[in-house]
Amino acid sequence: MRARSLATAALALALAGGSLTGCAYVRAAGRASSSLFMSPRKVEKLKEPIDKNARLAVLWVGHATALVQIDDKVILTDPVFTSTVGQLSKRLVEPGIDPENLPPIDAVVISHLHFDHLSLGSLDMIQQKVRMLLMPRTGATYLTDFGFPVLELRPWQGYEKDGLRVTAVPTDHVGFRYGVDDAWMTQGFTGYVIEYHGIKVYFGGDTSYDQKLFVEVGERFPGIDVALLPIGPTEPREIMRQFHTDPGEAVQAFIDLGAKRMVPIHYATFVNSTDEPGDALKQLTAAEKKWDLGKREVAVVAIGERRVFLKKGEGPSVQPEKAKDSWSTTPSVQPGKAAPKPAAKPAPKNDISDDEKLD
Amino acid sequence: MSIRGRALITEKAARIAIVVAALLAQPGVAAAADGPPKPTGDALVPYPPPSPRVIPPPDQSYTYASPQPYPSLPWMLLQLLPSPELVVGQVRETNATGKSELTTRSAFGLRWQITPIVWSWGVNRHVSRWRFLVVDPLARHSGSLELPLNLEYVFGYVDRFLVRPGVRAYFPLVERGEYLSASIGTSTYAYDDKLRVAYDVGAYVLYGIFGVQATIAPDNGPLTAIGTFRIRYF
Repeated sequence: MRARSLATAALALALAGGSLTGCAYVRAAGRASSSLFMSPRKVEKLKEPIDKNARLAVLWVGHATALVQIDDKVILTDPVFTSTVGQLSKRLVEPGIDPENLPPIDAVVISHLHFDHLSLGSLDMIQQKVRMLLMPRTGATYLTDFGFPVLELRPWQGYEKDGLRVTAVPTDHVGFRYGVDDAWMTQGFTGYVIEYHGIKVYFGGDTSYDQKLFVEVGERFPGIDVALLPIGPTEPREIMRQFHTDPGEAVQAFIDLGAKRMVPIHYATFVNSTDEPGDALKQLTAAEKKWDLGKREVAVVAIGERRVFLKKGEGPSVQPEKAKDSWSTTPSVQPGKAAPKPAAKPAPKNDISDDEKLD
Repeated sequence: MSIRGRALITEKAARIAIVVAALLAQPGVAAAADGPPKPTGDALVPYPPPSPRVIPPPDQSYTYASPQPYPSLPWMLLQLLPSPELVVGQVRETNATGKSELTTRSAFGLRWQITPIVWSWGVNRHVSRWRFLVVDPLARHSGSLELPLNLEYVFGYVDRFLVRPGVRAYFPLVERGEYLSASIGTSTYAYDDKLRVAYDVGAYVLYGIFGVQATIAPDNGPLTAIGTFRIRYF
């Protein structure tokens, strides 16, 4: 009761302050601070996150954290398990898995250096299970030392081990962590394409909409099976547009990538803007209705839910690969650079006026 | 026209026909007549690419970028932000009866800090451990040794400007020091023409933006204890 009163008071103060100043940053900071007094919503958590009958599965842990299983390989994106990010923004929903239940992770990928993506406390929780940490350029600056190896990847540079290949792909975001460092931390952001046994997963991390980038990634990695795309935060749009795709832009990016499935991420987990937790999903539904996605699927996965996209026997065929130099063998599948045409954009279902267009 | 003239024209026409026929026999010209040239041999890779294809190895020249922090305008403006402090000390005063006695007094002060050099043992092994002037919060609070220079003005009974160089060590406590860190340090300063020594301890939250520092100078009565609410970003 007391906590709720405190939360209400904090929220009222924040709203009053934000309204008086008209500053979106103040309002967002106020909302984040008031979240400190709230308890995170509980979720059902899997104790066995790996499905032995799955070839491709995604478990959304919350925000940009997703556990990706491709056959026998496990990849974790932007791991955040802490109760707050940046010490001020509290988790609205519990993480979808307890760190102790994580399996050994072949690669952890960090998209950029913001507190909600590079959480040093979370890396402390899982460091015994991590075999490799991949970061964007300049990422190690804000890492400190852990018990696992770390590599910084340049755009289009790859890391490969035992047939698992992770390639850094360009995104449009910012590379700083603290704000003041934006003058010199200009390279620390990336997306990734993860390939294994011919299955491809795109992880967008955090990005604004840049069609050219998405099309190029789609060209180089044709037939992406799942694209993990951020759909929030959305408001205030005039500010967020520079850094974040909104749900409509995320759907457009999904089409540009030529991916088969999209899993929306980066919403409804922490307070980091002025939009309400349910707003992003509503906008996503509206965006889906505007476009004829054909066989493409937007798969909304709940926090803690594991969605199997390919079962055993489905997807590309697998040939045994040599342990070493898997790239110099002749694989049964064709990951890597190709020269395809950009994916054709489906036509909108209805006539959409210029004002309503997603770009 | 004479017969000879007709024969000449016929011969000329025949020559032209031969030349045209020879030109048309050139492969490029013939192709040009039908549209763009078709690729021959391996000159162009057909689309889609031949299968199976060999994947080139990834570029394994992994390096670690070391961005050099520099004093940007926002950084400079932030350094102007002072940390307020409360000074408590004892001064010898003469009372109404003419006796000299020690009186406890307090005063308000402002402190600015700059850090010429930091050596951080907390940063990643692939990154330079040295920072000069501009120090990112993680380098400082994940564990470091710094040579700070404090500039402070104390109002009230002290009413003077102090320059306080020193040495300070930071230790990470929570989230590699970003959520909570602590420090111990020592500094020296001139007061009443004597060189004084002070010792300080501190605790910091929110990547070191806010913190409290207690500074003790046992041998300097007027500045025996200073409590500072430290505000610092980078």
